[in-house]
Amino acid sequence: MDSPDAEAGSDLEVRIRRILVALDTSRHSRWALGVAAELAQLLEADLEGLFVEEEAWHRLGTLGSVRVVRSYTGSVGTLESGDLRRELARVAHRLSRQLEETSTRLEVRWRFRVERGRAERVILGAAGEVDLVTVGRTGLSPGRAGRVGRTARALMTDSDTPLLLLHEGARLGRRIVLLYDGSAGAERGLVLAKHLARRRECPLEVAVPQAPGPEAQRLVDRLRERLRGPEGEGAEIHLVARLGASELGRILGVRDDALLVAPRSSPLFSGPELAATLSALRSPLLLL
Amino acid sequence: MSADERDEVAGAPDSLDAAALYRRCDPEGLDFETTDELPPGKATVGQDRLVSSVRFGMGVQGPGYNIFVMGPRSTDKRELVEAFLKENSADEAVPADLCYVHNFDDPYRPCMLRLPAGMGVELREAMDELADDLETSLIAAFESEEYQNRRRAVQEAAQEEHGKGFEELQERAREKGLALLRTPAGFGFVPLRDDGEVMEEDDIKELSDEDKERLEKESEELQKELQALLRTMPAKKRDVRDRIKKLDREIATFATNELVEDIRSGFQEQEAVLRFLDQVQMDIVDNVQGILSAAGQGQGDQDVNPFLKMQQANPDLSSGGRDNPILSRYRINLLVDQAETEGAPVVYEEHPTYKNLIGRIEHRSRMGALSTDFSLIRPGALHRANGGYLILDARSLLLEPFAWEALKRVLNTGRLKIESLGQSYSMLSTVSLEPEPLDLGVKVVLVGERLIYYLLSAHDPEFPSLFKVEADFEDEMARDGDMDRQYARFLAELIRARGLRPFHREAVARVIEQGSRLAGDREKLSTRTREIDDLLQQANHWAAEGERDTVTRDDVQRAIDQQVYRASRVRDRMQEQIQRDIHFIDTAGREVGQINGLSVLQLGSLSFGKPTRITARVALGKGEIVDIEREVEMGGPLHSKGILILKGFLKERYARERPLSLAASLVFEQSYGGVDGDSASAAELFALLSAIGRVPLRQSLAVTGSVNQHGRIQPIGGVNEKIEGFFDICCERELTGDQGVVIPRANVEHLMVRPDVVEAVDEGRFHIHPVETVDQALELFSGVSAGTPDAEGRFPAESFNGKVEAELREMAERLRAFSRDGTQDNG
Repeated sequence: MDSPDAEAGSDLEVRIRRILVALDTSRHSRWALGVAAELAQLLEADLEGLFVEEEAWHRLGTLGSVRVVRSYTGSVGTLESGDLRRELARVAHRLSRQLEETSTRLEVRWRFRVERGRAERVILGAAGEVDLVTVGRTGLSPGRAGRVGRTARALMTDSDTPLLLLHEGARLGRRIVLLYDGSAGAERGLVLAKHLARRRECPLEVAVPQAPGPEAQRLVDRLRERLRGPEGEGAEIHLVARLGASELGRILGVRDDALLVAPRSSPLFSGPELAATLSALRSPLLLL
Repeated sequence: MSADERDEVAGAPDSLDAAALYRRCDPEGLDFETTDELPPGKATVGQDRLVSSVRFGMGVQGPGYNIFVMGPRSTDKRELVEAFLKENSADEAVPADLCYVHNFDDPYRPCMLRLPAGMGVELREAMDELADDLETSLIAAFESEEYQNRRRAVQEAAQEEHGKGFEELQERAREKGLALLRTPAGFGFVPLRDDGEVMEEDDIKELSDEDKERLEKESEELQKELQALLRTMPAKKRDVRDRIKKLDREIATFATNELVEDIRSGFQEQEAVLRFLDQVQMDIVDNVQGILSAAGQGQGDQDVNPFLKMQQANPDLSSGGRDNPILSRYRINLLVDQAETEGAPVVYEEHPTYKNLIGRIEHRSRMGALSTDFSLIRPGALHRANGGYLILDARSLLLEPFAWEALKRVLNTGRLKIESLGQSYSMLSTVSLEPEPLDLGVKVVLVGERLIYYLLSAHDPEFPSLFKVEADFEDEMARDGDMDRQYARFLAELIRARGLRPFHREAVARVIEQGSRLAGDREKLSTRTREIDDLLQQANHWAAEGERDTVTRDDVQRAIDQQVYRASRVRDRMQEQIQRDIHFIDTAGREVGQINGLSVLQLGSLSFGKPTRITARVALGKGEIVDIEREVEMGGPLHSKGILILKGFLKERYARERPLSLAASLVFEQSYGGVDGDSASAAELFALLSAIGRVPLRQSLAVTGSVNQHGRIQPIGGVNEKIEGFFDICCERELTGDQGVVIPRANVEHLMVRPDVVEAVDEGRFHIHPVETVDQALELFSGVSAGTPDAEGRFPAESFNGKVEAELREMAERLRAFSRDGTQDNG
């Protein structure tokens, strides 16, 4: 994707040709795969599946006998030498097959690879090579509601590659809601949102987090300018004075049928607000 | 017979006047111009016995008082009875609507609801609306912020608790220098460095044995804690499911309350409906997840927000639940709707198959498998007629496999149970239903020919107890008093019912006359409505051809003539054969032992008379009279009986003192088909007497009539057709004024001959001679006096009988002499 130029206001070209989907055996990850494939089909992009073998998993046997507690039954099993390796190979094979089946069904070109290391580091590194990353909100580690996994958090904060954050049950939706604050990320989001709205033939709504006033008017005028043309025609604009997690939830609706496109720079997606936002958010989130 | 000859024979009867041959209906006696002016007439005119019987059958209560209406095939029995029942059942109570509904306790035994007439539709519409709206209402309820928030609260609380448990475990592990790790193979513990990172392999190698042992021991303890935590998970998940289910029930109850209460308020008096609604509401609440999942085509598991699942599958959410199998069971299968019925229903089932009578259970095919439910129960005629009358054609019913037995079973038990034949005979093993049987209250009216009634009475032991009321149609009615006018009103009703042009009174008069002709009796009118109906329709057609707004007498006459013309090819060919002398019939001159007999043939819709030459030959013998027809097995029993009667007459009159010493043979010349009936017995007797007495008979006459042992001429059927049959032959050869037909006097009142015959008689060119005795006929045929026996019983020598007597005496003498000579020769 070309880097945007917010001030120039010129229409940016959207080029998402490679989508990375981080895979593991969690339910969030399985959903992320389905949505990533759908997006790849929509944007005619290639899909790259990545499974990371956590370095730490290989140290399970370092204390002597290797015992694991199985996650469903709670029964204790012993891992003999090579068992974990074989198990990981089976997982990789299974994930590869899932990717293949999903991609083939949607006629998307795909690639799968396995890497070893710290998952967030490996994926962060891989994110720099693609145009979009798709991850589940949490990984395998258990945790409280609204928690964001390490990998997702790293991608939100340490990467500028567009990030699609998904959870179990999330879909691309039948509406696209853009959070437009005039930032560079918002400008890129606008281009991508217009493009997606046209490809999906769904309505585009834009939430502008500004109280009415000259500043808001200037922002809206610029937005209207950006929306000019067939892709932006008919977009609905909302001025939202105080945009918080609950207000965002109201705009998106309880039906959770929207894709939220937002700039990373928004205070809603950083610092102490992040947990509240994600807790309230049931829609998929595309951060730029 | 010439006038001179008639003078010679004082006892010979006069021929009939033209007026005696046809009973006209005087149009002036009909007090209307066209049938449009007439008020509706009764379709059952002349059917007093029938009306009385059917009325009795309708009124009498008790098992088995069903009605069998019988009559000739050419009567519109069914239409008449149907009209009568409808007219007379209008004041009876309208029966209940019948519905089948889902049985929530046992889906394979759908329940029946009976509702006051018209309420079935209301309930069906209400329940359809409920089923259509339910999905939307539930979606709205489950989409509500309240539900979403409460549901999330339950789920998040559980997840919070779950996550907290793990976090605490992780914290304890960290305190002991271990980290909880989740791998695809399961949870495990690994040692941590002081900086909180998982130890590298080299770090572990540097650990002392004591530390290693301690960490391993700690790890084992933590594993036990982890196990304990994991074991609580299923119960916690169950708890979450139960709490969400409880929430769903609460929301579903609230969402459906208003919908169900609306319906309930409209059916406060209907206990069964209220019970059903209670069950429906309970079922909705119990199955709310199923309803919503079905809308979402069952994706995902129970824990997934049902609304989300719907969204995934069907974002428009506008199916209205038509294909939702759970919602389908709240709908009503309105089997019988009496909303539009006035009085008791009168149902005619024209195709009385087993299924059409009893009802059926249909199946739908899904992926090759057959399934069914209460909505696929279809009513039979018995359901539709419940509380009223069911009319069935007996012949059709008996021809349908299993239908008669099924009807008897229903009438015997008073319960109507829908059961497929395949099920009854274990021919199908597919899933089927056992709908709740209906307690039936119906009167069955079977309509059929008399033969069927009598056969069933004789051979079906159940029949008399199931059809206790017999209603017999009259084939004809008396044409007296005001009956012509009543008949005119009856015709007017038919004309109106068929949407025909109005008939002018002269046309009506002609139809009435034809009614007598069809009855074969000038004193009667035919009630064979089908034939009358045909005549009216055809006359209407000819009026239309002539672009007349009113049907005239000529149209009716043309209809009659055309009916005959269309059907008379065979008759015309037979007459042609006679004209060409291929089939021998004399219409002039005199012959000994030869006479023109008359027979009637029925071919399709046409009856026509045909002259046949009958000849007799005699020789010396022992009193045998050989009926050649019988000898070759071409004569029926009635014909044979006629011959034997004839023989009895001969013996009584001529063989009191000596035996009949002749051998005679009688034959229908050029007859190649069978002969039956005794209407030619008079002709055969005359031919035989002519042959014995050697008295020539006039060939210009033909005769019909049977004879009894006393020499009286008895009436026969088809007299009009027979007269016309001979008339046509004579006409073709030119009427001489000498030709005519001899008929039994008792048949005079049956005369309704064609107008051209009447005209010829009126002009003296053709004659109809009514006779009562053999002697009268002999005089007509021979011109010779029959003779009256003297005190000793001997006829005058010159009389017809005298000549016969003399010949027989001589034959007897010759036979005796022959016998004596023969004995001497032998001796």
